[in-house]
Amino acid sequence: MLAMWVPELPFQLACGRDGALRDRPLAFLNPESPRSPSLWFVNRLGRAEGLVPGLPMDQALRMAPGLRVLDPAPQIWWEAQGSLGDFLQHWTPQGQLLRLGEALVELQGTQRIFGPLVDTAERMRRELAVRHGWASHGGLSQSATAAQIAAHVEHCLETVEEGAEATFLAPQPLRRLPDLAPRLRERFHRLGLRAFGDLQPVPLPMLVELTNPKLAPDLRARVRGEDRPKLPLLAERPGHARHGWRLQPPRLPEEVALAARCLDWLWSDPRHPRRLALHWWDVDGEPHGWRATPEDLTAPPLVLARRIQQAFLAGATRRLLVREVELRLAWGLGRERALFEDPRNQKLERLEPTLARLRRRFPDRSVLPGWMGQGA
Amino acid sequence: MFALGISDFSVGEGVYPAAQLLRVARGLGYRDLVCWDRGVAGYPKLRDTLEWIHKARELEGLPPDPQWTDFRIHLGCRFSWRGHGYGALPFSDAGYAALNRLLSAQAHDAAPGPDIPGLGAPEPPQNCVLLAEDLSGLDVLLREGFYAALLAHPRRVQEARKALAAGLPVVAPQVLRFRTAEGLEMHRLKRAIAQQSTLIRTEALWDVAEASVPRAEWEVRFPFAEPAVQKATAAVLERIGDWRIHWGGWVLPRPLGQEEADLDALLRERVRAGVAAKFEHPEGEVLARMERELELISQMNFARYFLLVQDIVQALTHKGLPNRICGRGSGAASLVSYALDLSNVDPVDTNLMFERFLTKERKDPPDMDIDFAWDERDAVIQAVFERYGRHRVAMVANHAFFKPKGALRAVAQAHGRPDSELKQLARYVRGWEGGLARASENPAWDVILRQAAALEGHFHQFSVHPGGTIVTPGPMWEHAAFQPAPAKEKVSTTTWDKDGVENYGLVKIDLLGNRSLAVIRDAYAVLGDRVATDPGTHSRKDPDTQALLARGDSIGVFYVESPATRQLQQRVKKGDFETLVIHSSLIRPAAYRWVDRYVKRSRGEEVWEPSDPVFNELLSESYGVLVYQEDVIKVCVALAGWSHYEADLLRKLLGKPDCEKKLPYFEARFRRGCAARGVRQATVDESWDMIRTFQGYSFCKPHSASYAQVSFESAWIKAHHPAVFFASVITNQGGYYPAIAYLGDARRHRLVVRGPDANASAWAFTAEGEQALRVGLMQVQGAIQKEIHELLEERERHGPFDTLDELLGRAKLSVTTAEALCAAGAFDRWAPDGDRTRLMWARLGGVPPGVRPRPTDPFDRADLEMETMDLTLEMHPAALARVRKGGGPDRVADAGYSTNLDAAPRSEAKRGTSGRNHLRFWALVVADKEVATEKGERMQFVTFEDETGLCEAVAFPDAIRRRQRPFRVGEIVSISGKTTLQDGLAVFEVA
Repeated sequence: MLAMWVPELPFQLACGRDGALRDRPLAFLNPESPRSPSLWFVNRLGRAEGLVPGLPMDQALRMAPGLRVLDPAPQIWWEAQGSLGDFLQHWTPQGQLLRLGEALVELQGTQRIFGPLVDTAERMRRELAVRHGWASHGGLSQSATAAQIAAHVEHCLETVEEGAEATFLAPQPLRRLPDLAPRLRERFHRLGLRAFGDLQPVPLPMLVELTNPKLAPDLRARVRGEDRPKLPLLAERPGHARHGWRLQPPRLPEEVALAARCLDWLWSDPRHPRRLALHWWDVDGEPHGWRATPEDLTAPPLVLARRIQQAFLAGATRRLLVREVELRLAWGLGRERALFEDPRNQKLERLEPTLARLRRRFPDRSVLPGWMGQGA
Repeated sequence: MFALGISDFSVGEGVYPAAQLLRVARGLGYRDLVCWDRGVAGYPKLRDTLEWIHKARELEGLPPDPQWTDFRIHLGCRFSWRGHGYGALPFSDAGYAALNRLLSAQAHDAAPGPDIPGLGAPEPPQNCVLLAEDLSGLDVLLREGFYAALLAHPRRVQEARKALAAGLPVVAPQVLRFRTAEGLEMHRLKRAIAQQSTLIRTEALWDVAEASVPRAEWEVRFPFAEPAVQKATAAVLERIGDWRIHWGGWVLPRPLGQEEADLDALLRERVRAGVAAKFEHPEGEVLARMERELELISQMNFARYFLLVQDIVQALTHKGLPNRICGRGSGAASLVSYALDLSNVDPVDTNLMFERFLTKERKDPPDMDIDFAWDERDAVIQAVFERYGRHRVAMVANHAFFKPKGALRAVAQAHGRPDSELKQLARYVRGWEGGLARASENPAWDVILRQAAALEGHFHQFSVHPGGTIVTPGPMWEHAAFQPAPAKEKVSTTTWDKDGVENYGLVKIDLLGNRSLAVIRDAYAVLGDRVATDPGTHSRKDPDTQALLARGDSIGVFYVESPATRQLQQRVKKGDFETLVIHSSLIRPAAYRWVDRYVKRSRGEEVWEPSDPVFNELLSESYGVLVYQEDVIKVCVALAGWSHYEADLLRKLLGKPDCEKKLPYFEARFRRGCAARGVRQATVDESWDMIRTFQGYSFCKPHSASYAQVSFESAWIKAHHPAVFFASVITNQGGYYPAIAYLGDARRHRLVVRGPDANASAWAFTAEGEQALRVGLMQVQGAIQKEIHELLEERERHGPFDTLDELLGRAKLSVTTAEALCAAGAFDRWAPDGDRTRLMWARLGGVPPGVRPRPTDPFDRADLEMETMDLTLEMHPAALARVRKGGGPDRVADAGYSTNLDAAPRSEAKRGTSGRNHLRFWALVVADKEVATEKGERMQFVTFEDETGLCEAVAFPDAIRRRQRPFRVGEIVSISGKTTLQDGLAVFEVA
């Protein structure tokens, strides 16, 4: 498992656009306090000069006259994170994007294509530097936790050999354990457990009492470097699609023209959807969802798009703006896509373009694929 | 003809505040307006507004405004019944009671509340003109045998035609809903706010065509133009016009069990007995005052009120509820109250003015405020409900109106704006009123700001008055409608607020909670016979107590513990009762602006030469400074020749938010009165200048005296039994400072503060002898309360625990509680080396093999104590920060708080330097007060503490700007600045 970390991705992006920004203290302006400008992110050179996020800009400029304060560009950062995902997909199908500039990918099984894992990881770092100009760190280990912590070692690829994970993790402070709840961290601290090594010998029943039965086995495996999580696919599976719409600026549900956009998405594939789920997030991050019923799925796109819009309005009952909408689709109504296609299906699938033309021509009528018609 | 006016008290509908509704009705040509809200909550406000219009003219010395002379307001209201909309206009007292009964029954049905005996099911009221909003509703009423008419509208002419054809009565007064498109938009906005929905989703209840039109235009439209309708409408007006609601006459119930007694005689008898008991040899002055008060009380028929309050207090005492009360407010000025044990200050000795409480001319009923220990207050209120019956008792409602910040928040939410934006905006508008202007710097908020500005001052919602309770002679609905209290179980409230209730004539009793009474109660319970038989008098005369107050050593002492009061005490250097009475009033916002003048004169540094001999008579006690509310009254009576009642109106106005608007009318009258009596212009100017600036929250002298009495008792405990005092103060919580500051003060009083202990601590803080204080287990956060109580019970039953294992075996603590108790140090007795880590593993069966937990060092212990108790035992948080983060070579005591100001600062003496007043130190913020400068900028008064002492500091706007955020209590901060000497007191200026 390889943990990749592109440190300070926003600053690297900025430096990529403007070479004059390299090797100098940089910071992004906080977008939330326009009246009294203050710093949002500070790069390491800035931090070395004593700048910290939240510092008023005038004070920061006095402290570090060479400081360049940049306008934030979250959209570009978001796209860069997407590019990182695309890049990783070339190397392995399994992986997970974490915080900005961080990713965890499974390289096991790629040896026959790319050679030894260490070489592959090095090549990935090099290629990332060549193609995108991003410097990165990497951590290679069988354990996801060990890989993530190893990736913190700067400017190199840190490899943790199999069987040496526990030894590698033992001196690391517990605060580096990703996603450890603050309450638990505090409890461990009170019990005098400050490093991974302190927690490794704690027996499972005791850990259950200290945490909870669900969390304890996983936590024990993580601190001992025995965690081997199955990572999800980086890309959508074949026959699946995910359409995201980030509303900028956020809008009230009534102001979101969802039906028109959904129609575009429904027409993006000639097939009928097999599953359809709508997700949306309010400005405060509250998630909501709606799943289409089988009856909805057989409806013509024009009707289905309207139904999605209605479901969205009925479900968005909070008095709050919506920030993001996402439509998840699985294509191919009426049948699961098997690993090996049977000839009949292939034959019917060849009719899909025709079906698509018919659906576009008669958007308010139900044009169903042959196997659905057979059942009906 | 008349109009039906919908005001902002129709929540979620009405767009007109009272004054605007009156203007609209008059502007459209009406002279009779019926209050047409849902409920009758808005009626007193409408009435009060109209009365002010007349009063303003009178104050200006002008004849009544012909525009308003014959304008009348009638009571009416809308209600729903069986799914139809109706309205009722009572034309007799019985109709009014029936209407109240319906509204109260509906309110109690709609929300969970107490069962009211005799209230019955909601039925349309008899003795009222009933109007149905639609034909089917009229049909339902007629079938049930009620006589009603159809309320017609030009938009529903077919209905009116049908009704007329069927021979049914139809009336068509105009309903004043809104006039313009903005009004309709405001209606939608209010609807969205009330329904907690967004504006875009909210449909208006009203149609554009329902906009109000001038009376003449309305009266040529069908159906009004129909002669039968016109006649019926006129008949309704004639019918309701003959009835006048009871308004202004005092409504006083008799005490329970005294339904037939001669109350004046009974009161006289009890007061004489009380005076005989209180005064060893009552002198002529006392007796004369008693007779004068009794005479006036009898004339005003007010004996029943005193007896009622006494009955309530005595009944509670018999039930063992409050064993200590404090009568305060203007009621404490009465010798009768004192004799009946309803107040604790001798009004003759303290020179309290009875006229502040009751005068012959007084129209609004005076009330009495009685404080109970805070933890007994709810039980006290419930006991009153039970004694007089839930159908006769109600608490008084508060009417909350939209203020700038609330309005902005409500409008922003109706526009679906997120919390983060609201928080950002809250930062903009914090600390000063009218923040809307500054918030408009963000252009995206234009519409929201415009709507919020329009919403300001509109009725928002009901809440409950902190203690106002009324008791009626008969069922409550004969006088007022009432409803279940919002968010308060088993309590009903009136729909009227304090002013409405008073103006109607209902006399309220304020039953309020007071933490210091609980402090004194708890301390006396511990001290037992060490308390003097008459602690009030004893403490007032005790030299140690007076000395303590004189040096401002009053942290924890009731009402005089704030930094401002302590500084005032230090400046004046007097600790006698009379001075404290003045100071506790002087420190209120209204009088505080005169504080420097008062201090200089009291110290003899400035000679007070009254510009007029009259000031010498009136204000000699307070060196020519207006201190009490009575001083305003005295000046107006003496200079302008006003009656006490009239002067009292001005006194009341000075504490109200609309003071600025109404004050010029009083000024005009004051100047006229003074001119008529030949007062010199300079004297008039000076006295009005003092009155004008006496705005805001202020005290009357009896109130100050009552509070000063409690302060003295509390200070006596601090002076003689500090351990008991601090234990009681921290246990009862809610003081001006956090617990850590009280413990710091306890240490400065040479007390040993002992940490929580599983074998020695109780739930509350306790005194261990006279020299030590034990932290109670109540302070341990994170522990489960139930488990702690079980542990204490187990210890009580089977004795203390020998080992930690025994404790864990007997008390069965969860990991969470054991962890919290251990972190707080409650198990330290089993770890002499102070290693709490090892103790924590005990609950888990010991340290497992291979685990080597880090032992706890003193710094860890301090951290754990701060996390679990918000206080430290061995090391001050400021010292901890100093060790960890470095810097801050100076100490708080160097800032010169020490009583010996001449002594060289500790750190300077140590370093061998002197004469430097620029200091840098680490400190804990224990108190902060934010104020606005004249320019509207934010500045703060802050109290810092470290292990060496306290210092008062001021952070000017520049310092706050540099720091980017204000100081907040509980923060540990590194501070630099310089010490300045202000009026003999060291004040630290934050750089």
